Amino acid sequence: MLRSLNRMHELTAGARVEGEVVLDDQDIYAQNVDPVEVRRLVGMVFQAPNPFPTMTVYENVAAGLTLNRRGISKSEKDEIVEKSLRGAHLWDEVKDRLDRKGSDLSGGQQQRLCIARAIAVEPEVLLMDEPCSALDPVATLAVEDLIEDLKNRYTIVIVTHNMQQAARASDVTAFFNLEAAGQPGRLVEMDATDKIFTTPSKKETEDYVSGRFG
Amino acid sequence: MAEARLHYQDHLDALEKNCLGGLDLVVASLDRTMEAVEHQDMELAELVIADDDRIDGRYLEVHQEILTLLATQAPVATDLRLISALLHVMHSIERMETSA
Repeated sequence: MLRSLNRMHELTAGARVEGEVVLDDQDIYAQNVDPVEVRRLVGMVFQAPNPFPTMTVYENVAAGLTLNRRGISKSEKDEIVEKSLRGAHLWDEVKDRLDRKGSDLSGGQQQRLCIARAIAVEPEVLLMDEPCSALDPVATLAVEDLIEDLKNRYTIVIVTHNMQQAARASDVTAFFNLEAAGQPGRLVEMDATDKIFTTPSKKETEDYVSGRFG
Repeated sequence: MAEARLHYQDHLDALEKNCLGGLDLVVASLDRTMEAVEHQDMELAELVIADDDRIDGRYLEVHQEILTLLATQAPVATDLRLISALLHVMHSIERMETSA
């Protein structure tokens, strides 16, 4: 589901497309749309923190800029790297070791580094696939605080299996489930988060958010 | 899919029973109050007054169970609404007993 929002599922063998995904009145699956441009507008943060292992902290954040904006000046790059790291609540922790390997940071710091890397190219939308599942509770709350800040500037789509995280971090919740094992997933209900967790419309949603059915 | 959270469900059921059981205590107290008034029975009146402490104790017990459930089980949807209702019910029961 998440990958269909930035055309990454096209990389899966046998993938097909029906319907449209509209971002600012533009169908991102239209013939004339470049998937690379879609992925610049729709950034993604993955389940396990995945900083580029051979790159420094600085180079990780600047990676998208180096690719998307050739010829960008060093000073402008410095500025964007600092702004992105501040935006990801990481600047104070890494400002003195920007030249160290990104993979030397702790798990929670690596995930915030990946978020900094994603926001450095100023996307419109951030997709987050279970961004806290590999993190301890303190790092998880740090990322959730960050999401709270980032949602003022970006549309954030977060996939989580943690019901409490969905309740804490989102304004709107969509509940997807399988009809049966092996069947494709389907949207059961989508509504304001407070509605989903206090008075959901469907029994299936109620059972799931109450933890009554696995 | 199998039903899950059986202990949690037991806990919720017990809470509901404990809370609504307070209502039986109040009804008994009201009956005794009427009787005491009717027969000018001072001894019975003393008993009714002593019962107020039992209901106060029940109120505190239910209140603590609710706090524990909220803190440990993070109830949502129907469960959350039930718990919120039980808190109101228990408060009203306690008030009725004090009036009696």
